[in-house]
Amino acid sequence: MDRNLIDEYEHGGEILARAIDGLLQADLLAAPPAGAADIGSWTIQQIIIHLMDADLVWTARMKSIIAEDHPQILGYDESKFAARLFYDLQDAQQAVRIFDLNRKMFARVLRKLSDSAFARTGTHNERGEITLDAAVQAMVQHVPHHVNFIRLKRDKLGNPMR
Amino acid sequence: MDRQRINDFADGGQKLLRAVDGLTRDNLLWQPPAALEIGRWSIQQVALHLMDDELIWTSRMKLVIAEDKPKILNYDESKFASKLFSEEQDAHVAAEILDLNRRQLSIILRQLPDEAFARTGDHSDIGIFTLEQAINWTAEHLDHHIYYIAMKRQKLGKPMKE
Repeated sequence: MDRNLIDEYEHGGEILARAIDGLLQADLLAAPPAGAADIGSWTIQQIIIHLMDADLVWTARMKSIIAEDHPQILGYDESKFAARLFYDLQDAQQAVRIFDLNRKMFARVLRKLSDSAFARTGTHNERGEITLDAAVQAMVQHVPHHVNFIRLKRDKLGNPMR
Repeated sequence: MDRQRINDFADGGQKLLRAVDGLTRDNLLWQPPAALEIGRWSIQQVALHLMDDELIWTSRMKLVIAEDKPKILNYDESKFASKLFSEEQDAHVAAEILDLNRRQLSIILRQLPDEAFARTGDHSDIGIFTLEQAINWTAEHLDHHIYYIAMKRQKLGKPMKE
């Protein structure tokens, strides 16, 4: 286990905070223009709330992998979450704060683990067996994947990321 | 669904913030002797348990709202309490996360029509439960533990402020 990965994980919330810094509510809720498939179809707000939801779900899964023996993990439908959980009405700044605090808190747990603990596994009903190491990596990569789309959307809005 | 209960749920995190306010690290980590019959967990363990449990239950509530009769797996709260290094974490941050997370979920709950509170999930141990029950249980769970924190604070000579 590369311990630098835990540092990256811990600071993911700061990347998100920077990604939406200086955006107005109208920017957060701006639907990407039709035909601009290369910048993704979600609003920036939807991306932020999705990242919070996914992180909270995955943190609980990682806790189960650490604390229990080979727990079963059930997938969830992120598209239904985005469509039915009033993403446009939630508070993006508060979501980033929750995301950031939750990562900083869980990073403390990760730092206490022995290297061998990162080989612990859970069984996801769609992805199959997953190690703790792979789960942390997936969460670390999840942020830049979406922030890249936020950057493209901000460029289109004429309000580029600093 | 009594809408006032959503307001109470949204503000419930403040109770935990008040319950840990003014406590030192020694206070938080004090392990009550069994003979006192005020619960064996330290206040720190209670606060971390509440955060973990709330994050899991709010994800479950999102599943119940967004998906159709989702399956929900139980988790082992005793293993979470004993294996996730709760003593290394920060009870005040845990309370802040719980508070912010409740406020964020309440934005969703306030948008739902009355019939949505009868939506159900299928829990591996509890069986079928409604969204309304989940809200009530989560609210009662917090109050249950706050009651024990209040008794522990009395024994520590640091009673809770009203």
